[in-house]
Amino acid sequence: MDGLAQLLDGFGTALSPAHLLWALVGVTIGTAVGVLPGIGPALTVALLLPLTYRVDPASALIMFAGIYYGGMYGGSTSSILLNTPGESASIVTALEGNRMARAGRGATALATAAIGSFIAGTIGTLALSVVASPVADFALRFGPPEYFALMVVAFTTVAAVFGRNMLLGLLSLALGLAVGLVGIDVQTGQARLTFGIPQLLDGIDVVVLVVGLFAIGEALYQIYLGRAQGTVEPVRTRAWLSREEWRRSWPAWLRGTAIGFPLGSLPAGGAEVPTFLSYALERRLAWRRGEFGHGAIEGVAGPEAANNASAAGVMVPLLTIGLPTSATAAVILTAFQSYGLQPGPQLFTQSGALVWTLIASLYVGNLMLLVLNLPLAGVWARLLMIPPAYLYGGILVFSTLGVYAVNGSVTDLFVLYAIGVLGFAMRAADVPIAPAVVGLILGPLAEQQLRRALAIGEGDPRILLSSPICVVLLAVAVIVVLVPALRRLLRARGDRTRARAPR
Amino acid sequence: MTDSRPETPERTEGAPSAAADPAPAAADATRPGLPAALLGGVAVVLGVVVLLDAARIRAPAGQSFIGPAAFPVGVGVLLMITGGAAAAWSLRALRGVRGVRGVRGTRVERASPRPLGRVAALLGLLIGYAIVLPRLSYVLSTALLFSGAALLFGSGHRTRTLAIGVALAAAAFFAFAHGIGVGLPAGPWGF
Repeated sequence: MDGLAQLLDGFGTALSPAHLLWALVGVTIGTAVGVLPGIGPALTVALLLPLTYRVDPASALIMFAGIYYGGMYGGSTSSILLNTPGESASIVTALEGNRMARAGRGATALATAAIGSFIAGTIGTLALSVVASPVADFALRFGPPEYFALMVVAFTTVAAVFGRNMLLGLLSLALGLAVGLVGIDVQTGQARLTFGIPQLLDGIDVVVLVVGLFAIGEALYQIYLGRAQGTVEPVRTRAWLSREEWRRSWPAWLRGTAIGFPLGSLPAGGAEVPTFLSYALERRLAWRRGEFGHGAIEGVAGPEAANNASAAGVMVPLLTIGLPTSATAAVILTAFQSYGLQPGPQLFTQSGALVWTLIASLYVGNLMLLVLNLPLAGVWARLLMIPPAYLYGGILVFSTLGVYAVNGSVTDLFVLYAIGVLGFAMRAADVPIAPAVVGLILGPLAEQQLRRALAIGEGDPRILLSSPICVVLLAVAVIVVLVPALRRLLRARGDRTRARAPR
Repeated sequence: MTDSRPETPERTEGAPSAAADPAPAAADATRPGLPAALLGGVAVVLGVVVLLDAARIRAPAGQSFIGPAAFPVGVGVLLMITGGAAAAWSLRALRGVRGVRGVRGTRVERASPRPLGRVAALLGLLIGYAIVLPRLSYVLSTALLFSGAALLFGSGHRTRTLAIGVALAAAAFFAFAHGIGVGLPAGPWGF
């Protein structure tokens, strides 16, 4: 098979000392930022984007992918030991994981998370290697109408799966789309939403948006909450599993993987939903039902496998179609763009070597992460001992530095703060952040495809429904938006009838 | 559509609190959705701004089938609809109608009073940083930023915080300015 040969070639390149080093740096940074609350992989990759000016594409992308995978490993540590998820995909892990840690079984929880992440990540990467080429071949048939329909699906599903409800997700998306409008329209040279400020003509940089929403917004929100740090549970023993714990973990790992990869690879994005589903499934399957809520190992093993498998799954639409479905994937797409590369089927034909090197590096990165996380679990736990005052001081220093470094301009800092205030307001209002990031990055691409499609159709909007693929995709988008609204309507009606009923 | 649209007060007061979402019920009860109402209002205003800006754009004649204003119009409308709906919905929750799951607002536990004062202080510190950065050199202003932020976040040790700030700022300066070659403002003393 052609793909296998290309993958082996990819391993040849990925295993060169320089690329191994970049992968190691990436997974190490990724684990660290995954562990630390308040800073995640999307923010970190955004801050490191300037690296793309100095480093060759393979090295930078290997490192960014390592950060993405590493963040998924690291997120579990703070969930388990601190009960504060370091990453949104680790929220569920805190449920059982922190209970285990309080019962003195923190090391066991960390071990099942790390090994499960490795198994799920490896199976997920394997699945990615198998499906990538066929999906890319299929996507070769896509024209602008299909791409536009796909992006609409991505918008609606991202709005639906992140956060607590559709409305707030759409609001976040709309804010991101609006920020994406700022600057010169590429096709006509018209300035949009620049208000006569020359620095805005180039548009708002992804780095500024991501850092503003995530870092500044989070710092402002944390100081608003004024929360003291929780208690960090100590890790007493070596992170390993007993025979019984192995026996209980591995089916949960496999089930988590089976849920995580397909859901991650749909243009529906996000690792959160798979983790919730996996947790619910494990809870239902556990015949030691009473143990759930008191530290059931399956409740850690399943969701942790699910979030790593979905991280691999997210790579499928990102690489083969150019469709990012999580904040981190959106920022990685920007990294591709800054090399003049557009992920999608053409990437496989034109830069096949680069893609397969990247995929090969994911296998390598996973192995590194297992080694980094199992024996060194205690070291990562130490990171949690950093007082939050220093942590947030440091986050502010590096985020302002990262933004200032983009253009060397203080104007960017003021834009950053304005977006930070927006991020703060979004957090306070419980509006998810990820749809805004996806909207900013995907919005201009969607507009481009829409205009191309209409140009092909000579202005006739029916071109958007010209193929079965388009019809199906747009129908999916409509369903995704309407179903929660309908459900709420039905529930409200139910409430009303119940309210009328005599007490 | 505006955000000040009066909500239909048709819901019965004291409807059984919804079993829909058991999680942060206590937090919901205190201040449901004031931030969401405000953010929704801001989004509506932003939507108006986007639409006004789109109306200003003159598309060059005969360019393409949809011009540079079409997509912004869609975004503006989406902003107004979602913002208006979020505002209306959270205001309804704010009126204390139970049984409607409000947008989760601020959390209840607060360590000290005047949380918005702390937010303003941190924001002021950041703005001050942007102002002094080109004048006061990177290391000095960044050390002040770190220490100021850490103290606002409740760091107890002043001298230790300042020392860490200076060390961190110096390390960042040498790593980025000398290592990666990012141009950072230096004082007459060279850092």
